[in-house]
Amino acid sequence: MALDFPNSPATGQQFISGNTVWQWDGAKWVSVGPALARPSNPNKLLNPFMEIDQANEGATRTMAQGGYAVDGWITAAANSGAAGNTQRVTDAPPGYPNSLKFTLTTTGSALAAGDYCQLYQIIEADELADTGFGTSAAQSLALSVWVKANPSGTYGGVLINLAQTRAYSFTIPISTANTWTLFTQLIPGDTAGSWVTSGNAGGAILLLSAAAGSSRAIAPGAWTAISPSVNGPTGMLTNFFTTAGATFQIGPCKLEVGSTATPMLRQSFQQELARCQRYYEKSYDPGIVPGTASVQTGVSLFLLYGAAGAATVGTTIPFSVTKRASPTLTAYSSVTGAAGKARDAATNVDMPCTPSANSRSCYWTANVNTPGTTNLQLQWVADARL
Amino acid sequence: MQYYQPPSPIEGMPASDCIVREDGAWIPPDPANRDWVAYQEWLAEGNTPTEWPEGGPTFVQAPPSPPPTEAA
Repeated sequence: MALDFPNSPATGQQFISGNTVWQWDGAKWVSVGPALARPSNPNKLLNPFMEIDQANEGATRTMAQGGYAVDGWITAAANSGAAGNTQRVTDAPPGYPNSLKFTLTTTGSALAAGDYCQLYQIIEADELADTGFGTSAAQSLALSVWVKANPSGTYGGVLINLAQTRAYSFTIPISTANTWTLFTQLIPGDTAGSWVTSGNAGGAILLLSAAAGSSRAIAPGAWTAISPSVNGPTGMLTNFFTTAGATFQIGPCKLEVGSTATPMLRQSFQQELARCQRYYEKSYDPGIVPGTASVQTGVSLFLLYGAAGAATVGTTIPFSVTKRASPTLTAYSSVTGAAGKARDAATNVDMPCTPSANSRSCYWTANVNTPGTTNLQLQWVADARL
Repeated sequence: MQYYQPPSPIEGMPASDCIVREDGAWIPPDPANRDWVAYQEWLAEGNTPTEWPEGGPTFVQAPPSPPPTEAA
């Protein structure tokens, strides 16, 4: 089987095919050993195998909606006349379970200066503590990502600090449409600029791009001082929004400290879910979209005290994982799915409820409908995403 | 976008310091919470939250998304 090595590799760049790692020595690709036998650096990216999708559970997010398409990954696109959607799909490179796919459902107009189409992740600052970015000790980062797209052409990506004042862009050549390609990119450490590399705020944005208008593109291959709203490198394809059925898909990916890409190691579903729950947690079982009428899972509020007349019930619920910050909380009636409501199980009425929370737990209160009611039921979502 | 200023959940207790979005989400006053940041930006545009209506607001709720249509 012919190997589809990256075009124009940098010396030292590595390419993984199957269990073999190839390295470009400046003139040719040389096998440097089995991939699985090599140590693997920690992955900076959340949900790198696109498996966890707590908010949508595989349903589409339209281009107009944007936002988190799976845990950790945000979709955003703009073009006059174009329509599309993004969703988790099971089409993935061999051996992997999922990918994240943007599909153009209505072709748009010719690429305008301010247009863009991107899938991106905001990386929490604490994840950057060992990068030394913004100092003379800045470390290189190695990015590896599986990409599949239609049409073929030059796609791109950018690493940006959260203040959007520094950016490094690179091109992603897709020589064959609709074919999974493993792309690797070495990103030199940024010794300048303002980088936040500790704390629970955002630290950097990794953006993978199918379209970037002229006002949103910068020259690839160098750290550049920018103004906000950079979405890709110059030289990208310009016909993405005008190609019927265009798709842009990212599969397993890894961003790590180091000068070479090391193997992607998949954690268990439970381990990755726990990482994601730092940012988003729900009472529903995996597979159930928040807002679904669902009595079988979730939480009951039990009467703490009662008296003749209205009584208030409440309970504290510890989170499975400490949240990044105090989360936004939404209740859903377990019977109707109505937002902001708990279900009075004795009288079959949805009642307003009130939460409070810190990063460790949430506390819910609600008034019972009539005296004597002994429990209310609700589902909930805690959202501390970046 | 609309926000509501919630009352005290229990009579005699101070009012909640959260703000309630039109979709029923309770947003805590944490500057690290992106929804709180968005609310502050909304205020800075000159908007003001709506008083909590008698009986509580009717929240805007998008129905659960339809089942995914897998397309490889």
